[in-house]
Amino acid sequence: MIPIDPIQRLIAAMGPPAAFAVGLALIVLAGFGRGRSRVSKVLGVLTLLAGLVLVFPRARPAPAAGALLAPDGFSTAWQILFYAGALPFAILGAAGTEAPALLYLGSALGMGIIALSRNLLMLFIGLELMSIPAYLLVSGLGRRERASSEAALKYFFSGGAASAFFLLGIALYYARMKTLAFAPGSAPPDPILGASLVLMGTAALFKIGAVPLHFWLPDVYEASAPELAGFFSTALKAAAVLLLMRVVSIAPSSALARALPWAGALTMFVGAVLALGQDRLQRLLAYSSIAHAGNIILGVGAWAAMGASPAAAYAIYFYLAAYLFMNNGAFSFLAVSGLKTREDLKGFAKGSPVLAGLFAVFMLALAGAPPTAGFLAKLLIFWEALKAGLYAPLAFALLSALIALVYYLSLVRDAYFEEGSAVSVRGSLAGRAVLWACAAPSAALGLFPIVLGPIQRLLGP
Amino acid sequence: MTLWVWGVSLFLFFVGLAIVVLRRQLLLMLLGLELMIAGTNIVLVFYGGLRADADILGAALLILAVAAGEAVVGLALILRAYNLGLEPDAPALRELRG
Amino acid sequence: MIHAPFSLLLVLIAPILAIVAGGFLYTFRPRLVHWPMLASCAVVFLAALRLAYLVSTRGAMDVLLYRWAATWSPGSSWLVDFGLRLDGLSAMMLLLISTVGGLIHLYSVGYMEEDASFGRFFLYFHFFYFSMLGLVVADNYVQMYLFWELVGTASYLLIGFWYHKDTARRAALQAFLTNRVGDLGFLAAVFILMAIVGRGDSNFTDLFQLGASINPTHLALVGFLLFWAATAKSAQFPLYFWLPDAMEGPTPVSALMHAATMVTAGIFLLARSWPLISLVDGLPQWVAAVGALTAIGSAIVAVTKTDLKRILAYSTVSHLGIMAMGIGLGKVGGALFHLLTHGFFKATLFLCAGNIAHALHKPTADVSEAGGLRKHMPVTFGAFTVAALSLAGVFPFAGFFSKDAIIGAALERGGVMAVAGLLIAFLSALYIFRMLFLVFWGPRSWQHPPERPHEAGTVMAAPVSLLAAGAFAVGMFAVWGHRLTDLLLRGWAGSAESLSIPGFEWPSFFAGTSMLLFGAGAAYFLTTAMPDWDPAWRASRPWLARLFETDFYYKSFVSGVVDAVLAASRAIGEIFDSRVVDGAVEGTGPAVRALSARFSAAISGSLNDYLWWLAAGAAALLGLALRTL
Repeated sequence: MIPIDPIQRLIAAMGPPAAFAVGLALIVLAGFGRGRSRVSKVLGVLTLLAGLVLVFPRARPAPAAGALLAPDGFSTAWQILFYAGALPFAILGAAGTEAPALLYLGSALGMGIIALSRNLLMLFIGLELMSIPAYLLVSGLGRRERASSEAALKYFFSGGAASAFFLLGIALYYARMKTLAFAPGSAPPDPILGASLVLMGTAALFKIGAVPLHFWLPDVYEASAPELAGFFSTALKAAAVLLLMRVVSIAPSSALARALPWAGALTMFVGAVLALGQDRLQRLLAYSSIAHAGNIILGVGAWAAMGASPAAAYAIYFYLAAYLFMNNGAFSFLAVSGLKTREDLKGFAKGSPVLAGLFAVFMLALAGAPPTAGFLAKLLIFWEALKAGLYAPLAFALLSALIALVYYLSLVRDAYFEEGSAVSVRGSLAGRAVLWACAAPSAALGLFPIVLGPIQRLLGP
Repeated sequence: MTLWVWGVSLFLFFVGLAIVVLRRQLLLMLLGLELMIAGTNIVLVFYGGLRADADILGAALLILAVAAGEAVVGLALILRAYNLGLEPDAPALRELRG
Repeated sequence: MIHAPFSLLLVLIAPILAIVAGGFLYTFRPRLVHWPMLASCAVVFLAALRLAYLVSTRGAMDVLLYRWAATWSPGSSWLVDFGLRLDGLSAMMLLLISTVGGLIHLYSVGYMEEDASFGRFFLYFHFFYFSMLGLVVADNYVQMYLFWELVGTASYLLIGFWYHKDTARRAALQAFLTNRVGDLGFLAAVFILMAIVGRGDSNFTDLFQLGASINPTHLALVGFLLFWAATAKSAQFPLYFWLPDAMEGPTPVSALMHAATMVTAGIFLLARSWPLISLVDGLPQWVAAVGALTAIGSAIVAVTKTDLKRILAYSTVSHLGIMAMGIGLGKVGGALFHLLTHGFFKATLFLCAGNIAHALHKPTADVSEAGGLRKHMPVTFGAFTVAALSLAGVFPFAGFFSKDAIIGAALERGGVMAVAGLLIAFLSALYIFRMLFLVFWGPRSWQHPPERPHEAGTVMAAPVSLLAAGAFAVGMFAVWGHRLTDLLLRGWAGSAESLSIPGFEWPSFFAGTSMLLFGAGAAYFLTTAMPDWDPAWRASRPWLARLFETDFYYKSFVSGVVDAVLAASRAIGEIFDSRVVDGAVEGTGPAVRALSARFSAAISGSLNDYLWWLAAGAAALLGLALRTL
């Protein structure tokens, strides 16, 4: 007999990972049939949607005290980011076989595990589960096969080294704490623990793309299909941020936490400066991604400096949510329009005014122009940094935002006011739907800070 | 005793790191990666025995399995690159840069 | 749901819809753009009537439409409100704007008929109409500031409407920049208020209740800053000079914006803020003084001008000064009353000037080109005369009652104010009667256009006549039964006494009328009895022409100041440039690009390099952590 009750309890307790397990199994089965790419695409999207639905807490059994995985406010909220951030890729990604669906679902499952983890081992497993399919996705779905292979190799080795650092961190933690379980503020900071946190934090920062651990990011983003890069820059980055926050929360006054604002300042500055000189659009967006990561790291630093203040958590979450729309939109635009370099972009507005308009929305939102979502997001993070007393990093942030404004606006200018081949691109229905779905919140979310209310309720006090 | 184990472990870890950073052949770098992981595993297994903690021994096993999976993926990536005509040589992978 | 009378929402929604519809029409049938606008004007007019009725019967109301609120912890939030306030003051303004605005919209259909940019005109014009409506129903300072800026933008667009004319462009820019200077004051006042109150969402009702508890210094600062903003917008001395030059715009623009509505926004601001201003020591007196100075000075200059629209422009400045004087003397009711009547008679005068120019087939006319037109343009003549009598303050025209209220207050105050009041009465009569006599009586001095000057069609004549009727009747209507005062009292946060409007008082009647007769007589003497006085007298004294040309050298002074400021900033800029020639400022652009290239080069493509950096980064962080060891 199939034991229904424990399965029900498992689904109720874990939610999305259960859905993912089912979805993955179904896709593997579908791989044996014909039309497997289409079926697997649909199944993939459905699984993500099921995950989104199951994320919300229903009457849950309270987790057992030593539980490896347990949901809390952060896990619910962040999982929404992961699964929603994967949707554009699920919808737009070109699937020749069922493999991509398996891979991104596996990656999303890993992210879910990271969100739910209360134990360092689970964090590690989640990290690996998230990363390894990502390496494969880069290699298998790139547009230029040699370049994507190369990028996959670089990603693999750097990521592998980072994971190894994470492991060493785990070992040090266990040596000090005699357990692998962790909880916020559970450890008094001492050198060994500090070293442990630094190692684990380094792995997280690597995945976020902080400077000077960022070298893999532009290569990977450039060589991937644009929609895949969108998935990496939004869902994966959100997972890495959560990983960082979990690690930092163990000891919010540790050396790692204190270094974060400066790491953030460095990252946003270098990212912005790098983006200035770029002509290849996907690489440019990769650097802009680094710059935005710097803002988020600054936010996490402020969060830690104020002892895991809820207001800062809301700000970080809002930034990630807004970023999800803006960046997915920008990368989806590249996917739909097929543009590669600035030269291609010139005069685009004449041929395809609607698409160019959407592109302008994304650029302005990324730049942080009011009243877009990007503006409010930056405002919230900067306000938190100000409250935390991080004045010097904040000054860097403003400087970098200014530099960023230059290249975002220059892209808009190129699209509208430069002469070029005005190609008329319409894009597929799915592509346009994704673009509009990303553009509307990017533009309007700044006008409705009322969404902070539900965010608060999600994340809890 | 603890110090010795840590010493060996860290030695292996850093040798692995050195291999990854300094060597050119991708297969060797893969080896270095595995060495790093193995190094940390040694510590975990040691503590499992020292503190009679079954959880940590289980963790060590899991980590071993994950590392194996990672190695497989790494090999697959290297092989694919080789089949596409790329030399499995790190400095040669320079098409993407800047 | 929003609990608001539908008419109130309609007042804003109808113009927006009209502009959108007009925008669509503009792309393929520009000559039809005016229809949505006219429909919208009609709708808003009806809505304004209903709202006035609602306010009279039910009293004032504040409606909150949308609250932009970012809250993330109790007690920590940012709030900016978008709401509407309906009270006696806004109802009166709505009536004024919708009536005068609607009629001028109609007039413009005829006036702009031959213009190629017909459609564009109506789009801009209605945008202004909408902004002005939004300004008067705003329920907090931030929102009011937003619409204040929109009104300024509309003014810029409309003054420079004929943008191929260099003078028009310059006038538009001058108006915009001068208003900007005032707007800085408004913005500063808004910030101070937000700092005082602690949040950005105070609507007027809440704010004025706080009134007495605000630190007097802060309050004084706010009051003076708001008056500075009003100085720019309502063309008080020393920021009045943009208004005469703004006559470059088409006549309907001058009639609606620079006579009836936009320039009165400053007075409206003062009236709205009266509960705060009245609490500041010395501010009302200052306002009255500036107002009186402006009124007298510009009236004197008005006597010297020859261009029809310029005379009227200076007259507008003068009357704005009278309104300011009224407010400063504590008679807010009188000032608002004068705002109302002035709207009617000045608009009429401008439209008549437009008629004359139109008849002579020129963009604007000079007194030397008109003359003896009364036989040829009877309707214009009639309307002009009615409006002129109203302006001069002849009983029982509308202008008499409103002017009487203010001059009566001035006489009551006594001293300098009384003298000022009498002077103003004299000078107003002087310049307007001069204009009347020169244009409509006297020898025919107009050049022969292809056909004799004649009245324009009904589309232009009807609005003029209706406005003239208003210029006659509005005064009596408002004062009879204290109608206006009762309306204004609804939702008024200041003292009831400040709104009182005296009906009819013998002393001020005598004083005013006698001054008026002096002025009319002087005008008659100067123009008709000595017909060569004006042109010949001027021609023989070129220095006089220069004097009049530059407003008694004030304008030269202003251009001098502006030039000095520009030169100073250029000099400072040059010093900086030469000082940091080795690249700190100038070289920032190239420096950043060089940095970018350096960082880019670090991403060499070599995996080993990447891993090196990874290890180095981890080591650095580790070093930080282990420092405590």
